[in-house]
Formats: sequence, C-alpha cells, structure tokens
Amino acid sequence: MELFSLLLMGFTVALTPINLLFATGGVIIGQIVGILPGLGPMVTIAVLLPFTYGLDPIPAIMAFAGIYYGSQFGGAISAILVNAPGTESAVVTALEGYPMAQKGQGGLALATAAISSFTGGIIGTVALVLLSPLMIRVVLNFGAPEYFALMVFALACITGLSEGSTFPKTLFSICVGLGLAMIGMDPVSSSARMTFGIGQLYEGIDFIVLAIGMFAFAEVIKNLNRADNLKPKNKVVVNSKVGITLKEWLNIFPTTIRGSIIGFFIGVLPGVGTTTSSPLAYVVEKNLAKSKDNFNKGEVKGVAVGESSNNAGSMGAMVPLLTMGIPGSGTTAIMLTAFMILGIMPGPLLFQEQPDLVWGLIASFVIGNFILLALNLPLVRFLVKILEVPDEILFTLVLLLATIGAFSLGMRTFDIWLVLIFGIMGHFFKRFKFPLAPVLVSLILGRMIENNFARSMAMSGKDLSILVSSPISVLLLLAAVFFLLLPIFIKRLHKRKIREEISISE
Amino acid sequence: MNSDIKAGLTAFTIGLVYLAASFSASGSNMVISTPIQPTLFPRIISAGLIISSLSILIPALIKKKRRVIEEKEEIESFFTKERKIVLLSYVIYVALFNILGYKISTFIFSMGILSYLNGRKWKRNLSFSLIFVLTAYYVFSNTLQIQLPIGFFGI
Repeated sequence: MELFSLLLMGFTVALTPINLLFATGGVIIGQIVGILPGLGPMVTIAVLLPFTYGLDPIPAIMAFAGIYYGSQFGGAISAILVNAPGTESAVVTALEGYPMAQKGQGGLALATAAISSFTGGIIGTVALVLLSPLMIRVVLNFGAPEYFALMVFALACITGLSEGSTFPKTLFSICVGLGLAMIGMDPVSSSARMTFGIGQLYEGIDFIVLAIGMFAFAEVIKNLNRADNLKPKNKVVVNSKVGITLKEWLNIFPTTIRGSIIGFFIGVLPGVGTTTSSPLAYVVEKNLAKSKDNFNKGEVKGVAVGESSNNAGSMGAMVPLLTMGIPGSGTTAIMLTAFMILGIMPGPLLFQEQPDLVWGLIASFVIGNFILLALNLPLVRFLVKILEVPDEILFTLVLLLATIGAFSLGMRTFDIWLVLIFGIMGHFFKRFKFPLAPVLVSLILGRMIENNFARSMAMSGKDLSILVSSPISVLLLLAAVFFLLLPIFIKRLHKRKIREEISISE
Repeated sequence: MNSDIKAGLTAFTIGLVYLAASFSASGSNMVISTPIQPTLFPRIISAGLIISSLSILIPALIKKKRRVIEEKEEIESFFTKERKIVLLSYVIYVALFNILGYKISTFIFSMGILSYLNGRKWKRNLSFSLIFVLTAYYVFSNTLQIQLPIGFFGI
C-alpha cells in the first residue's frame, strides 16, 4: 500500500508540465542518438551534462534517464533498417531485424521492436519498483566495512565490462581508473598526491572530463579516418505498414515476457548490463524455440527477445545505481556523475530523503515508455531520416559541445586540455583493445573504496579483520573473488570445448 | 612488434611511472594521525598496473618467440592526414579560446573543420557555425548563468 502511494506521488511529480517536458525531450534525444551509429547514450549524456548547471535536479535527471532508455529504443531502428546497431545492445535486433527488412517485413520488425521495447521497459520498471525497497532494507544496515566489501564486489563485477577484451587488459583499465581516482587531495589526510606538481590537479580529475574525453572525443578521433563509414549504405526502405496484428502480438508475447525477466535480472548485476542481457536472452529463446532454423534468417521472436531484454536490462541497471550508488555500466557511471553534479548522492538514503525525486524518476520511466511507443509507431519513417545527418556536422557538434562542456566545469581551459589528452588516450585504448567503461566506473568507485577502507580502519584502530567481521562482508568479498575468477574459468572451459570439438572432428 | 607487445610495454611503463610518482608524491610523508597513509592505495594500484601489464606482455613475447601465431596486423596509423589537421586545429582553437574569446575562436574552428571535411557546402557550414555559436552562447550566458570567455576583442 505504501509502495502504491509512493508511486502515486511519483506520478504526480513526473506529470508536472516542466518534468514532463524534460522527460519527453530526453526520450526524443535518446531516440535520435540511439538511431545514429557512433553516437550513443554515454557520449550524449557526457556532452550534455554541463547544460544542467543551475537546473532543478528532478527534470534534469528525468531528461538523462530518458536519453538512456530512449537510446535503447532508437538503436533498434538503425539495426533493422541499416544493419548498423545504434547501440551495442541492439546487435541481436540487427541479427534478426535486418533479414526481416530485406524480406519485406521491415514494418513488422519495427513494430515488434517498439512493442517489445515498451513491454521490456514496463516490466523492468515494475521489477525495479518491487526490488528496490528490498535492496534498500539490506543496504541500510551497511556500515563502512560492508560498503567497502560492496565496492570491491562492484569492482570485481566490472571485469565483466571487457567489451570483448582480455582479462589482463580489463584489469589494466580498472587500475588506470583507480589510479586516476588517486590524483588530487587525499580525502583522509588532505595532503596532495600524484599531482606531478600540477596545481590544477589538486582538485582531482573530474569524472565528466574523463567521460567527455574518453567517450565523446575519442569517438570523433576514431571516426575521422573513415568519414563515410557511418553513413547508411545498406538501407532498406520500408514499404509495408509499420504495425502489428493481435495474432502477431500474441505470438511474440511470451517471448517478450521471458526476455524482459532475463534482461532485468542480468541488468541488475553490476558490470554485466544490457550488452550481455540481450545475447543471453536470445540464446535462451533460440534453445526454447520449436523451429530453431528460422533464427539468423529473420525470426520475429529474435527481434522481440532482443528488444525486450535490453530495455528491461536498462531498468535493471538502475537498481544498483539508485539503491547503492553503484554504477554497473559505462552509461550508468555517467548517470551517477549526473546525479552528483546535481547534488544528489544515490543510495538507500536517497529513497528516504528525496522520495519525490526517486519515485518521480521511476514514474517518468513508465511515462517515457508510453511516449516512446507513441513516437515509434507513427514516426519511424521520419526518424530514420536522422541517419542522413552528415557525419562532419555530427563530429563538429560533438567536439564543440565537448569543449564548452569541459570549460564550463571549472571555467578553465585546463579541463579542455585534459579532454584532449583523455580523447587521445581513449583512442589508443580502443585501438589496442583495452575496454573504456571500466576506467570511468573505477574512477568513481576508487574514491568510494578508499573512503570506506579508511573509515573501517578508523573504526577498528587499523585492525584489518573488521573487513570480514560481518556475514554480509564475507559474502560480498567471496562473490567478488568468484566474479573475478569467472572470466578465467569461462576462457578455460571454452578452450577445452574447442579442443574436444577438434578431437571429435579428427 | 605485435600490438600486444606494444600495448604491454606501454602499460608496463605507465605502471612504473605511477609507482615512481607514488614514492615522490608530496603525500608520501608519513601522516601518523590518519588511519591509512595517502600513498597506500596508489602503491597497491601501481602493483596492479605492473602485474596486469606483465600479464599482457609476457604471453605476447612467448607467442612471438614460439611463433605460434603469425600475426599480420593491419593497424592503421594514428597520424592520418584528417587526424593531424583536426587535432592541430583543435590545439590552436583551445590555445586561442581565452585570447580571441568563445564566439570568434569557436566560429573560426567550426568553419575551419567543416570546410576541411566538406568544403563545398559553405552555406550549410556557415549557417551551422553561426547557429551553434550564438545558441550555445545564449544558453550558457542567459539560462545557465555561465560566462564564456569574451577575449581580447570584448565580444
């Protein structure tokens, strides 16, 4: 009952004209950046963050959340029509949606994607509403040692954000992020460290500067060499009506439910996120299907499971972010940065101290999903024209927004130079296959880990055993070891499987 | 030299530099009253950087020695013409940002980059540059109350 009244309050907040305007603006921007391959929610939120200075936190956060889940919606359009997923999580959609479009079923594929995204978004929001209070009850009892264990667990989980890289490279990226977090004033003794004698570094490295540099600037540098590559080459024109019949909807309904449930729970795990949720849900769906042969050739259920799981996953990723203040992915790390800029610290206390913001945000997810559904079905033919925006305009726009954004952080050109350095660094990271998201996430977690470790040591008189004094801490630290070793076991298992297959074929 | 060896060597160097910096950091003086030393975490992290870099470097060197895999990598050069010009223009832009002011420096940079990437459509380039410069200035100055540099000419 209390949950219902909180949600009702959330809707009252979300439906005020200004909040509704920002949420709508956010989902439209998200939809557009989701369609454009090369830009993504991370780049967009990073360059738009400085535009929120002085704004009321509630509409600003609603707009960013709208960009986040709106991009999941938009990613499907370019995946289906151009075979170029606008977001990583839309890869599965491209796998099935593009062949459907080639067969003349583009309208059905687009409608399925829109309805499945909507279902995933709504189921994900309901699960978020139900799971968050339970998580908060647990987290509210946490002291510094438990928080330290939680941060270590989150750090171990982000080894999952490997972006197809090897374990040592992911570990290196994490250490780089942690290393950058140490630059500036030590939070415990207030003495300067790792500043290399540069006065401007005494305040530390801003998350946004790193995010703008490593994600936005590096993306432009990467694409400069292939100015025409982002333009649609294999565009399929949709001649059929963008819509779905009741029979077709009933056919995909169980699939969207399964996809949403899998997507949500995978999304909750820090470091695993939406990029993993849709391929996993897809594999499950393929195994359950009676006619497996249709998959990879344009199976509508493939589109349904891909879209429902990635949208539910993006809601799942909000659980650790909102309840514990832990970013589970690069995008949620930037969302956390947005919260911090606006003077909000996500965590269990946020639900108690600013229920209007939290529940308003959650309610805006529901409203945003309705807006997206309303936009997608009738406007898809118009939206796809966004793909024709010239690349040089996009590149210049990103560079200019990055520059002004970085400058406005502290009104100093030093931050713009940092953006340039991080941009070049980000480019080399990509080129040598080091994942970028763990750098940002560990930059944020690094400071929290050190603070909680210092507080634990202060509590215990420098006795390390306090870190394993409660069952929750022990459980979290054991889980951290498990997640840290998991990629190694999976790799070995994979190698053994390949060897077995080779020996069988011989 | 294959890319993993290059990456491993660079990563190893970064680890060593970071370790050296943690010893020479001003915070390395003992702060007795605090629960942890300011250099404790930086030193643990340097160990992490060095170990992870060696985990990249050593297998890459072993592979090369055993010639298990003949890698023919085609890594594009970083310093392509487009990148050189855009990055150099950007460096000049940032250097002149405070001197010429936001409006003039941003307009010149935007026009320059757009003309280089697509010189033929000058009307479109001009309108984009003007609209961006003025809109962003209006939003930052009036809505967000952030004053962008006005520079030498007072514009």
